[in-house]
Amino acid sequence: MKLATVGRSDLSDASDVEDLYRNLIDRLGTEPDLAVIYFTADLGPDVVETISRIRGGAPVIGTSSCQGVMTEEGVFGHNGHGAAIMGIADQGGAFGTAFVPFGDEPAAAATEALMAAMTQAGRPGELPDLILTHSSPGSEEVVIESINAITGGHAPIVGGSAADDDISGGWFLFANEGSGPSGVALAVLYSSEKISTAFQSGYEPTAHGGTVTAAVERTLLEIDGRPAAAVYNEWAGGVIEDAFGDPDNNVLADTTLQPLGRQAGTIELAGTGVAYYTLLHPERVTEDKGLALFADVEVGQDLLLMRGTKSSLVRRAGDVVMTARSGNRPVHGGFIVYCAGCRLAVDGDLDGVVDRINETLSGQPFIGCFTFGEQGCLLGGENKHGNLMISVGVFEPMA
Amino acid sequence: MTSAPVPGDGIGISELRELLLASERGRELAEGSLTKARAVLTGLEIVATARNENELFSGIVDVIGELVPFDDAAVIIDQGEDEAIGVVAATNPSLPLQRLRPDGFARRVMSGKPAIVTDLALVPEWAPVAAATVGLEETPSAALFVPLRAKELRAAFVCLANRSGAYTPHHLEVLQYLGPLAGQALQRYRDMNELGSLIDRLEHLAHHDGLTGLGNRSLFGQKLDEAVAAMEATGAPIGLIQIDLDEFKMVNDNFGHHAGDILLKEVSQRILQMTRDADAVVRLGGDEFAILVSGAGVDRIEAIARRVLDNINQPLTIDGHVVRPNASAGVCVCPRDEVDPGNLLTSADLALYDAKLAGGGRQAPFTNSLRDGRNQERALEAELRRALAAEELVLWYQPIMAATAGDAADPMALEALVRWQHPERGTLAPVEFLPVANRSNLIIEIDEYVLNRALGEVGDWLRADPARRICLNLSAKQLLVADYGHRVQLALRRWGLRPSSLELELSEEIVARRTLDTTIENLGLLRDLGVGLAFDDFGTGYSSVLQLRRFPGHRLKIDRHFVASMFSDSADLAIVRSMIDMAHGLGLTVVAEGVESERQRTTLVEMGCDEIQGFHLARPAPLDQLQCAEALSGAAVRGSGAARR
Repeated sequence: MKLATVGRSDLSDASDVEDLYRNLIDRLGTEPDLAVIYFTADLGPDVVETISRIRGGAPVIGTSSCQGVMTEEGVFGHNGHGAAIMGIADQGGAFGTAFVPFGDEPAAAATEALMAAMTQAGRPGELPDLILTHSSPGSEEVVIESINAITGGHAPIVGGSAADDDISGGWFLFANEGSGPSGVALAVLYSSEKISTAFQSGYEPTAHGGTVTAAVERTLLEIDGRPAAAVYNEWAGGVIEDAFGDPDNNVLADTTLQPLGRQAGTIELAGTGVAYYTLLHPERVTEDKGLALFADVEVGQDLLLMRGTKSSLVRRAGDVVMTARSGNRPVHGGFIVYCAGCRLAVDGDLDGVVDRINETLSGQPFIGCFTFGEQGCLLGGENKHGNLMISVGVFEPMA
Repeated sequence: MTSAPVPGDGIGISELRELLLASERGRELAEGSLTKARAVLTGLEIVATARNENELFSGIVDVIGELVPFDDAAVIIDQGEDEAIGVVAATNPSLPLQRLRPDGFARRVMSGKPAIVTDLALVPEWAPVAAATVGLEETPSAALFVPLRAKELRAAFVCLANRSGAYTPHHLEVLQYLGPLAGQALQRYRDMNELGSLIDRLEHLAHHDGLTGLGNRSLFGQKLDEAVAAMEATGAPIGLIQIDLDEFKMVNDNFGHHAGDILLKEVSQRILQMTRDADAVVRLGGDEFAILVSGAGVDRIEAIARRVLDNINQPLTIDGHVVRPNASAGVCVCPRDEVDPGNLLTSADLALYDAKLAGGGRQAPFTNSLRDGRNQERALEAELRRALAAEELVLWYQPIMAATAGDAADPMALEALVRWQHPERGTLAPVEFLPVANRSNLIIEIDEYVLNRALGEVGDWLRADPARRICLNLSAKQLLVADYGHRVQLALRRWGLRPSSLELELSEEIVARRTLDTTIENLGLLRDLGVGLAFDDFGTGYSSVLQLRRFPGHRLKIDRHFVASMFSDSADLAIVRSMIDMAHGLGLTVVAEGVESERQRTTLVEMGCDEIQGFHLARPAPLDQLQCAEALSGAAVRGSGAARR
């Protein structure tokens, strides 16, 4: 197996995208068996048109990323017009990709996409080593349920929700010849090498917590019988106070370091149960003082205020890589899905994120995107969707 | 409201969580390793103690049962490119895993790529298995395929569950540690089986004939021992039928060895068709076969011999040629024939020889007179060997003259003829001892003795005129001696003679056998040396124009039979004339043998015959009694002296 990446800022048109793909083939020394492409949202049409045309028979998958992409060589396209491609050459492996628009049935679309990808890989019915999934924001839980229904939940996922630079809905997804702003693109990987995953956040729980008493899908209406925005504002020290009367009340930046958390599982240590969490990132305050989130929330769930720091977010991606790795065995590279909210919070220190990942991946190739929601496999083996998370998949030689 | 974990004194929440995560990861790895280690240890124990594939399989199934859930399990094996999948072992033998299509998926997993199948219904290669299990209450939905690889082995351990999505990467990981161990063990059993098969094959080869598949001499010995033991226990007689094909060599010579081999195989089958499974049928070598009949009455043994000969003697077509095999058989029955079982084969051989002497194509029983005759022959052979050493074999010579010559005073050539100057029985003609010499290899020594003696005795006479020659009869066996041509060359050098001084007379049998490699090589060398070659007794046997055309020699000798009946049978006269014309047409000179009258001589002269030989001019006689003795006397004295050197 061989991995290689290319990345470039200031891409202006399709010919630049084509050059980038040719560079990848040069670095890889062969046509890829799988290509993963992350790009800033404005490049979506050029990427789809170009890559679909020149990919040959190689399965490809891609999604737009928030304000840039990253590889081991750095961050590309901070201010738009950036793209990165990872190529995987693995004669002993099998790979397949598919994109299916959601339409009215995201669950059916996810099922169809997975079956199509498995068929393209030539492994229908076989459990993949990894499913790389990207979907438009809003139906991630449904997508995961559909995947789990087919795999029994035994195939780990690494994924991220398509993003744009300003949450204006300009995101884009594609696989092979299929593309669109709404739907699911996924890749199945049957690798000749071991793929390890980790899915964590860079946040710690605080003592502030309560129970959801009213919610509709991704809108959290009440905590402990009170308006959710008011409760959150109290817990967080008034960070969204100004948004209460503002019609354009986006609070993403204000809540990034203090998201809500809900318990996803428990680690047993010396007879003591210690909880671990997935996160809910408040996006804006609704008219009825509720909080719009990037993930579904249900009545009865217990929520906590979580807290992170900029430095922990810089350090965290590398730490998640370390968690994924099996001890000190060599590593060949990997995928990093990094929350767009966290990316905005550490904006000035993104190079630090890359450095830390390079440190833990020993400088091996990786490709990373910044997403509006992350999906991964938790410590207990559950495939979950969360916010402000980091999802990692690394390639390691077989034991 | 729920409580978040409270950090302990002196340690921050973040650090504690790091510690917990790392610990959890470590615990998972440790537990996983422990499970795998247990599986490997148990697997090692199974591999070390299992005595065969079935024990290995059931041992592994026991181990796996504690680690991986399954409803059925099996070991499947790749049996080759165009072969169906093999099922080495299975908990449910009625599950038709051999129907798993042997391409794509199945070949991939058996060549080293493990697979977790969450839904077998989606795997195209599984469809034939599914089709065969339609209607069953429980059918597999999920599967785990773990390669078992070692050396050339391509196999897989298969766990099957009746529930979709039953298997996880964890299950696979556990089994993958067992895979190499089980694969090596399986390979070992396969190697042992293969070794066993190889030993069986070698054992078979040691006791069977490679061409016909019949038993060989070695097996015959074993079967004879068994038959003797049975005879001693039950009194049932043993019969031995020894069979030999008459003129088999003619098939080889005329149609090639390939045709000979086909005939031998066909004869083998024909013998088997007429015998029971209990009878031991062996090929003793060449065209000799034997049937050992145990536990049957004498009448039945002879009836078998008759049936076998009748069956063999049916014509068959080989490579477009109709071949009419003819076989002879010698039958010996113990104890009827008062033959020791150890001599059964020799006795049957004597009977066979008797059948051949009687013309072949028949069977003959062993009799005591045959044994007596054989004993006499052995005695004669021993005496002849002694006589050779004592130089009791002497040469008589008969002149060969130009047909136009009026007397034998100045012969063109002398034919040397061997006689035995027996100390008690006087001078013995060749017919009294050469057949025995021919049946043993003594004829080869006699031929060489004659060569050197003749060259020595008439060397000076030969050297005096390059046109003179000494003619010697050559046995077929001599030409089968690999270096015979070189030996002749050495003898000529030894006596300082030109090769053209020597002419070797070849019987029709030799000419017909020129397809044998050694014969061809020797004749080629002799011809290249310049030694004369004559086609002796032409017209008596299987001579054909084709053979004459291909004959590499210089001279043709017309058999005495034609000369003798030239005037009583006008056909023979015509034949003699034709032979002379034909030989001349082929560039050969012609010698007429058995000329006993002047009329014959003049007639032959008229027909263009070149040379004559016969009583009319000179009878064979010792050198010093020939009409030309005066010319030869000096040579004889000097020659004898040289020979003694």
